[in-house]
Amino acid sequence: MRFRDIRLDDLLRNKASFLGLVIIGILAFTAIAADFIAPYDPNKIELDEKLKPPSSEHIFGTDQLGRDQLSRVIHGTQTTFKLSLIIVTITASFGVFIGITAGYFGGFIDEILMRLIDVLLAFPSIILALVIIGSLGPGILNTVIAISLVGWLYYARVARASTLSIKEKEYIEGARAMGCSEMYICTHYILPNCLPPIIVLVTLNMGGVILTIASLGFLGLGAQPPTPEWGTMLNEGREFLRDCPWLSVVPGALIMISVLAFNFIGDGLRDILDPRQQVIK
Amino acid sequence: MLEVRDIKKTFSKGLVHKKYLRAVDGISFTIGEKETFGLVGESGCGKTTVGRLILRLMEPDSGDVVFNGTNITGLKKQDLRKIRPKMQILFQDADSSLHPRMRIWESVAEPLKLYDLVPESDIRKKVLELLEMVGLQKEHLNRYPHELSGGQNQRVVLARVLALRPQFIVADEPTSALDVSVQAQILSLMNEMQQKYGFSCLFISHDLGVIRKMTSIMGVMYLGKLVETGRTEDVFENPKHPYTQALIASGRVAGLDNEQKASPIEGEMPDPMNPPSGCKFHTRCPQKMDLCEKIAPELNNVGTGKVACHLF
Repeated sequence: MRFRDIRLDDLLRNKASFLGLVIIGILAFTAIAADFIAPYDPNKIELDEKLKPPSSEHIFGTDQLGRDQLSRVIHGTQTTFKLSLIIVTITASFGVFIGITAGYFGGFIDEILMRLIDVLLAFPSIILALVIIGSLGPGILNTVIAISLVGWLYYARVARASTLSIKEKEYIEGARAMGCSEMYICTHYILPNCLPPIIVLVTLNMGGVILTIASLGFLGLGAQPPTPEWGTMLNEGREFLRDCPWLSVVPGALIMISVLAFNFIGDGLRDILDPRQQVIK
Repeated sequence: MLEVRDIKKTFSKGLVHKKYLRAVDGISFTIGEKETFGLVGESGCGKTTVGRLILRLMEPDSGDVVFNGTNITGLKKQDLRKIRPKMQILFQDADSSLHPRMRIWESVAEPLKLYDLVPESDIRKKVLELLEMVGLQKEHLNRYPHELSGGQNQRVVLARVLALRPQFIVADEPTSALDVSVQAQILSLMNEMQQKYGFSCLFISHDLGVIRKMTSIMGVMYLGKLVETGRTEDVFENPKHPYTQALIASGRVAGLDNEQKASPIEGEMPDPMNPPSGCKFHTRCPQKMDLCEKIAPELNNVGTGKVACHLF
């Protein structure tokens, strides 16, 4: 099976992934430019203005401390995107490293690593993350640690599977005959060829990570107030759900939209890389 | 130049009830300077494994491979890597012999960079020179392997291999995946390059016509053993082992005057996991004797070559 290169125009042709790309583009811009586009300081407390419904002054209203909800949501986008990017980078690189090592060298190392992964996969990942946070204590750094510790497993599996099929290819043997070191073969031959399925996994995984960050925040174990973060805001707004629904609805909707957008892109990528699709074209 | 002494390789299958496959069961031959040795045999007789063992892409169980006076089998990894560029391999499937994500020029430049053979600034020039030598043009430089044909890819592999100026090349059925007209082009290109670079070659093939054209000495393999070796001319003119006779009679070589009236091979090759006793060919041999079932014949000097058969 030969993976085609992922091209941007293929992604744009698929309606769902196009929509996903647009949404992620907007959110990413929001996250990067948060400091410039947020109309107010997200942490500025104005008790006179508290719990105001949406108006022209405060588009998404204000919260129980009179902070502008729109500014908080914008900065929350930044928090979430920053965290999930860090987590995905850590988990993907560590997972791919482990997967290639296990797949390429095989034997005893492979056996040990894969059994370890089997054991870890037997726990639901959110439970495992809760246990880790429970012992480390709540906070942003610990959120990153907890999600990363359980997040690399899938990357390792996918990378190992690709490595197993790639290492039988003749160009690997040719490279060995040429005198390339094992290290060189892993980084120059195996890695670039097992990347396409990893890229699909990254986009699908982004949604999952955003959801986990928000869940931990909602449970009070992730980002701590006053840090603007979608899950934390959702939790804060929960008390006022009956009178001021905008406090929960806005961050909730953003969580949903961003997860959905990443899944759209992931599905689109998967379709592009699916060999059966290429036959139809 | 290259001497192979009694190399063996056994593969095992299964954990509890282990099954063994003697892929290569004690093979010896020598290849002289600038000489091409042809290894011929049916699929599954272990000829590809021999090529891999010589280059130590697989570790032999026992036996020695001596290259230019150095015994390769005992070498440590670091020392082996120093010898690697001198011994190269061409594969059957050229399309999968090239890194699918590297452009053609990157593939050819890679060995040059690995061993610092030319200064950084001259790499593109040298790559173009190599590609033109094997009959490709400038326009191919920036293509990917899947954009080229099998024959063109085999040319690229050849350029990549020749960049290292090897002294020995294992050609593992380099043309059997190509169609006949392209085959001929690649074969004459290989001949031309051998004239120019003067490397020795182990040419593995199941195609007798190709073996006859390309090699000066040859060996016939059956189930992991050599049954006959000799000068290619002599083997084709006067095949001695019943297997060789049958192989040649199978009519793979059109227009070959074969005076011996041997009939083509009958029956299937026996299960290599469970090979017959004595001479391994006795199950299909038209001239079988009682002795053949009990004792395996040794490779003995017969005429100009060597034959492993109780008839001689």
